[in-house]
Amino acid sequence: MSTRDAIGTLALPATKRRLPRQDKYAPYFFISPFYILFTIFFLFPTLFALVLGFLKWNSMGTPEWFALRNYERMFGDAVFWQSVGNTVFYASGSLFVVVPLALLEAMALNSKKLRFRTLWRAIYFAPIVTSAVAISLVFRMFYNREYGLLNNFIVALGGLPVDWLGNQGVAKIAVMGVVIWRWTGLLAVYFLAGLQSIPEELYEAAAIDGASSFQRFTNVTLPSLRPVLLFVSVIVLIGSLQIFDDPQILFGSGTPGGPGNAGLSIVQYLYGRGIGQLLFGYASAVGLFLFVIIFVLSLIQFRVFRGFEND
Amino acid sequence: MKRFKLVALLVFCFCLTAVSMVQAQDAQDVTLTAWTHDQLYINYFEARLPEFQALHPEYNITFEPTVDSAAPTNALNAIAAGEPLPDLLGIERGAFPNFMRNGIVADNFLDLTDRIGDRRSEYAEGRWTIYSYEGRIYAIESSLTASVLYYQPAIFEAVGVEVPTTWEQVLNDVGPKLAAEGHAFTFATNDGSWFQMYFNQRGGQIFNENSEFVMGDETNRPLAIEVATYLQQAVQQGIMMVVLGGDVWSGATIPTAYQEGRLAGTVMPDWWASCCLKPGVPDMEGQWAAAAPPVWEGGGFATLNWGGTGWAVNSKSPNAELAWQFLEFMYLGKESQIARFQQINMFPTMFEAANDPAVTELEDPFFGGQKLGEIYAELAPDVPVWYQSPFGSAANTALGDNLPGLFDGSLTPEAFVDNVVNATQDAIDFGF
Repeated sequence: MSTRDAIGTLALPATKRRLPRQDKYAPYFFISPFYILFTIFFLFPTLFALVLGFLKWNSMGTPEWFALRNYERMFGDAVFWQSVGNTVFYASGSLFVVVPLALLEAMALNSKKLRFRTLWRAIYFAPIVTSAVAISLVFRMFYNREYGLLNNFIVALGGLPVDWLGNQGVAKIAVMGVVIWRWTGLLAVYFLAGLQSIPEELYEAAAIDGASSFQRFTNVTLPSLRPVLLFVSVIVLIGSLQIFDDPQILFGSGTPGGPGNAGLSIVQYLYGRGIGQLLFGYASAVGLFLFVIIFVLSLIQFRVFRGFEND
Repeated sequence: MKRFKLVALLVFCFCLTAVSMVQAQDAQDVTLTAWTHDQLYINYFEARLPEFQALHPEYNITFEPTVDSAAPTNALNAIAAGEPLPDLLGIERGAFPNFMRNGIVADNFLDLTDRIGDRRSEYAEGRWTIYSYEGRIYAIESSLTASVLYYQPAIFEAVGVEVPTTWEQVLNDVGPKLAAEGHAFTFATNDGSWFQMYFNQRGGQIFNENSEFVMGDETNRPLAIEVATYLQQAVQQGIMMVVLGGDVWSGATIPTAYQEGRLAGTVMPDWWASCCLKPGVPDMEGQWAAAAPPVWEGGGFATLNWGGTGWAVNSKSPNAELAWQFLEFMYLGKESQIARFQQINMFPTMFEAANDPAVTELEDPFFGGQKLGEIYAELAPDVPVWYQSPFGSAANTALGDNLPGLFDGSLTPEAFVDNVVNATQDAIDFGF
């Protein structure tokens, strides 16, 4: 562009000035890496899985059109529904046991009366930085019916040993034990951050008004923590519905679903059919079912918490 | 002068030609790749590579193994992705059914049937069928996988029992006496292949030679119920100690049970001694013995078998012929079969090698100097035949899902067998 052209351009009103080409496309350039990766690693696989759910394919050769037979098979399989029930148990346990425990833990860690606060916080956060495989392997020894520490403790108290990983009635409880130990600390950190952002004046005002500890908790703490509660409950729900590594390693490679599939999760079921039996079309159908469930339940959560806000 | 220059030029050209011919006769650099889940096989291959190299001076062979517990799965992924396979692949027995789907094994690996030829009859037939697809052999087995009873003589003597010869003796005599003193005869586990080990010994088959599902037919269903009934009674009487699938292969459960006497013995294949028994309780050397396993009074085979790894040759590799020669050298022939047993305790599948003094006279200090080879040699001709099927995974899953119910009594033996048959047949009928 010549000097005369440049001067002429500057003389025009701003609305009629044309942006140089790099300014016009620069924003797209900067956001493109994310969207390229998003397309390659999320959008395309998701759409491919959606289509694959209607095909019969073992990863070799040409896929065969299977219509709804994968879904018919899935909804008619008792083991699938068993995995759904187990997963609902894990999600419920996570939401109604782990989350409240984490909140109580955070409140304790936030207490001014607690000594060695930093040490306690480090202890409760330690499980997060520990390998999930290592945790599950140690818990497998902990739960061992013959030689596990837990049964030794129970027997020392006069009780009978429990077959934690071999009894269908307690297998899920054994998995929840790992989940509680592993995730309570991280969630407590989220709550702790939320608690520390609550203005002290609110508690002082409530105290002046004669509110008891419980009333301060329900009328000051919980409402103030609503955004954190929403965040925590959503990630807990999503994570617990996709639980895989804890039961998979706890029960071992021979029977990853536990005794009689008593601990089998939906993702384990999907993995077993997809990778173990090369039923990729069928596994995709299961994956899509799980995706829809998570999406719907997450939406319900948002609606519920929005309702609380309106109240 | 001119003539001298001409002669010099001719001599120079001659020398150039000679040099190029010599260069053409230099060894060709070749890299043979291999994938397996077990380092033991690599140890054996590498130990004997110099011998193989000496037989093939025309090649300069580099051996590049990869040990990965998911080697068969990775191979399937590579096939699906169009990626190259290794020249040699060790396919664990349980993984072979997946290679039978849609003829994957026939499309990607060498048909070894004609290459093995008449030598087939020199080896245990059951170890050929286990890696066969539509009647053709695609892999060579690494071990006889015949089972023996590994036991602690001191416990048997203390309780005052002899080594039993039949399963009925175990259930009605030896087992209860051991259990009364807190000793289990062997372990039970919720792995479908474990059940199949006993079922096959009894003479039953889950699939036939055509890979058809036959467990529910009028011949096999009664046998399956008989075996299931036996196992349920043995578990509930404490004769078999239940160990979860994962704890069988890792962890302290079984070694601790051995050391404390909770497990007086184990009925497991030849590889159990090298993979698990000796490494698990090295300080118990000299306190163990071996004997032929019990047999079923109603009939069947002299031993049980489980597991194994078959080595296959990638048919699309440019080194396929050399890889086949490598495998043939390492696995076929009396000398190689004996060498493999001596180095990694994988018992010969070849009858002549199994009866060679180098095998039968080998004293094992872990077993108090006992000659285990003599026991295996007697069992070798009567190893059960194990037929595979693309739906082997479905059957194995169905068995594993229902074994806990059998053990704790919530399922009758009949219900157990029917559940397994129905679940497997359902998977087959649906076209998976």
